[in-house]
Amino acid sequence: MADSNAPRPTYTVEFIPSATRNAVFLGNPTLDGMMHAILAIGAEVWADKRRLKIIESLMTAKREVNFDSIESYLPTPEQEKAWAAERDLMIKNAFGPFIAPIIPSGS
Amino acid sequence: MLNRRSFISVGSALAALLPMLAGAGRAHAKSGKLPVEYDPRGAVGRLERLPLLDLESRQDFMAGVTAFSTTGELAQAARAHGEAIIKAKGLDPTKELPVETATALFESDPVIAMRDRVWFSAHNYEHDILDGHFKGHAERYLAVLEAADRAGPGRLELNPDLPIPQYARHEIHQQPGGYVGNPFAGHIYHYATNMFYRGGNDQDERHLGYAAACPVPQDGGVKRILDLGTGIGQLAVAMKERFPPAEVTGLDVAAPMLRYAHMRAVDLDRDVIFTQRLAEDTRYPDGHFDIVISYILFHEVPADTSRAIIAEVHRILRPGGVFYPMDFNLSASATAFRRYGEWKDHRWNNERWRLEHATVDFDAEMRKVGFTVEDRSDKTAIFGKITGVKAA
Repeated sequence: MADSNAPRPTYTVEFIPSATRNAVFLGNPTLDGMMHAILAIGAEVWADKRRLKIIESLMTAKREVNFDSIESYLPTPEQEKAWAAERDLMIKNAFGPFIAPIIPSGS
Repeated sequence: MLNRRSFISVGSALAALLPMLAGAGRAHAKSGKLPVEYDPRGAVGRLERLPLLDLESRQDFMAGVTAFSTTGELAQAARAHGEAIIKAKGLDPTKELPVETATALFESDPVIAMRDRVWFSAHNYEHDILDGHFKGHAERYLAVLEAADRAGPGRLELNPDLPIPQYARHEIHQQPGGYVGNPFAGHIYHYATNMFYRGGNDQDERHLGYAAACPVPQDGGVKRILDLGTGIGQLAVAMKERFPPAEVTGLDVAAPMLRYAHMRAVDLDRDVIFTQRLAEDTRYPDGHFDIVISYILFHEVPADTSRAIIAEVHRILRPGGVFYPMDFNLSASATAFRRYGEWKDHRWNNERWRLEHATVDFDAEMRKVGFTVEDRSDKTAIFGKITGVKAA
């Protein structure tokens, strides 16, 4: 009888890990880490904003608001476009200061 | 790293076909034929939605960040800084620079460095959240794969005894576990590249376009098609949809990718054979295929392997058969900043063979083994258009 607790086959083999996962671009690994953290937190903020938009959409349509209805909600094409524009504006406002005036280094 | 402009140029060239193809894509939705299924948030056409809203939203955010750093304001500012640096040094921006010179000039610029950091973080974050999710629910996803392994249409041929070359074991473009070392390599690849395509390939539009653009043998005979380095099988499925009576095979070295490809083909009710073999040593008989196609395979293998694959393709094509390899345009004009970008892709994005690929005179290598080659590559495009025909 087959052992139902046996691990399922994965068909994987040993791989060679990347040596550059912790690459430093900003001259200091702490700065690089902080930038990564800012982006990750931005993703969480956006996830919450998007969830709120869905809740508002459901409430506006007088639909039941629960975990399943929120999770399964499919934005309309108009909503996708509008939300993407809002997301891009949020990114530009947050990270725009990094786009310095065109003054090359060393000049 | 794939440059988004390459896909824009390819996409615009196929723009006349896309409405028809997109319509066809929507019609080819999931069939519900998987014996075990897990898609709690359903699907849109042929794409299963990520199973958690927050996971999808995080990916959506990083898609925006990726756009910001590849074509948007941050990318434009980095390019402007690069060009200003070159101009300030009195250098010719259309000429390549030695890598050491380029890195010394560009790496210390704060905007170029920030662009690289932002892109790199978005890229790795995306991979990490996907990897974490699929591994966190491994039993569920492995159950779906296992049931699909035995299901049809089509079939899955895995070879656990196949010696996997070292070149295939790397974590290419930082994908966790690479293609061979992560049971969810296919899942991660699919959703991570969807983020890269920013909705432009959710219904396999790109792959349907590439299949539509594939030349056919002059005598029109298309009985057997091979998609080399098939990955998750998007192009193989697209070729099947273009040539329904043909026997279509997707070949790859990576079992996890093939399992996902087969599962997806079953789900789409597409009869495709997915087989685990080496592209440079397929073990198919001479003259077996009418068309051999590939998509972004060659820049991910060493130059010597590329040459071996080209020779193998010539052997397994029948007289008059067509070879249509799609990859980076090696005849495109190089600029100092562009070459620096390619170097970064190689150095930091773990595209191990990217620079070596640039040294391969692909047209010449194809001619050397006997192909008649037509190169219609646009000199300004990142993506090439090469066709090889085996003498009839």
